[in-house]
Amino acid sequence: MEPLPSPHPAPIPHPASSGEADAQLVSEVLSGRQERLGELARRFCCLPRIVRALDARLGSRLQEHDLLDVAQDALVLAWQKLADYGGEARLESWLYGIARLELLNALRRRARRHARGADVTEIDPAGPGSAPGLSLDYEVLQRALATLDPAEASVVRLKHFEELTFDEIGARLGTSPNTAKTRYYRGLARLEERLRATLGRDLEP
Amino acid sequence: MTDQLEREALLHALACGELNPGSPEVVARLAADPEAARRWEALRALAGRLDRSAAERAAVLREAARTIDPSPVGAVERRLRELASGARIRTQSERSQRFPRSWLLLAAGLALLAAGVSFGVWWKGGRERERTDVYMGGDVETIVLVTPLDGADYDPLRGFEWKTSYDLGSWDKFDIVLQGRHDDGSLFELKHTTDRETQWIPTAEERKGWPARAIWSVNLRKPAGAPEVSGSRSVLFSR
Repeated sequence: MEPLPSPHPAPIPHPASSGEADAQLVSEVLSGRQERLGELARRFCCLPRIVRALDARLGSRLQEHDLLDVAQDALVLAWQKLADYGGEARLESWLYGIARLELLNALRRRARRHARGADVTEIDPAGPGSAPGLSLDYEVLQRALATLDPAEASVVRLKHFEELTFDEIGARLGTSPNTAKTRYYRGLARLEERLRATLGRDLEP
Repeated sequence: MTDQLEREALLHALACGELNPGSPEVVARLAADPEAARRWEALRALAGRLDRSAAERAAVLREAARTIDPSPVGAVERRLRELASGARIRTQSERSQRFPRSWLLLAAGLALLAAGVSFGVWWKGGRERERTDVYMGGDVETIVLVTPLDGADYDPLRGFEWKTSYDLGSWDKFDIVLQGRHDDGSLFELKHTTDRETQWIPTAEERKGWPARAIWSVNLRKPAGAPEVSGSRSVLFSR
């Protein structure tokens, strides 16, 4: 593609970067290497666009200034939680979870202002005018994954969210593919048990 | 006990993709073990939920990557440096916790009309100050091109659309410029028009002779005549 004449080329998620490289970046920033903050800032610039894309899927419910508030809050939260970033996924994927959390919180606050007692569960995920919609399952799954043994949860995340093979997962985690499979099966089975216990019924296909 | 171990081995192999759930042998084993069949269905459903959730994340990130937006890298970096230095920055949720106290203040203020008026003035001013707590380019007026966007194929090309945070004054207009590119890389103007709407639909006559790839930009033109270059965005598209 030819270079664009735009004075402000929009940064896009770095497809070439890996979670490991991003974890290194985060580690260096947290250890006080100020010169790496610029690189981290470039990566964090995706937050407003992720927030807008999520809001669009919900039917563009928030005004521009609300979206900026959400992005700004997500930036602060991302900084506060930066030490939790483990490098399983690229930074943009991690920021996606934070942006979702802040957006849903903003919608929840707005719903409460408009209708006493309303909660986010009352928000129609698809929303009017939203073709693809937005499932609220992501938060449910992430919360349940967070209750698992970290080694098992990590394999489940790498398998489904990073689409790695068991060979790749083994290489990433420094274990054999068979160990990765065992952890995956245990993790998936425990995850299913916990979600079933929460819902009180089997998961619908 | 043996049955339990065999069941676990079967489910392990199915979950890890080592066995084909549609194979006659597996179908027969599941038919003979309703508990194994129930658990396999549950695991398969959960794997589907995880995959759908991952696909949704991937789709949102792709959409976000396609969005043309201001790139407030400097602002984000400044904010990160403030956070890194330990600056206390209140989030929107923390800011909104002021409302109950504000209502109490308002109730007290109702006893004195003047105090109530003063409170309104104070609140408005305070709110404006709060909005600058964390800056990510929100108060930078922008024009964001919506369609067509870079690299996409638009055939037929239905029109040009953009959005803006500018509060358009009575005499303000948008300058829409469409440019082609010579082989040597230099640009030439295909079309220059002005409009107050945030879309422009060229006629079939206007589209005649346009190249397959072009650059378009939108500027805000104030009555004084000079375009507000800060609102300019340019995108190369094909059609």
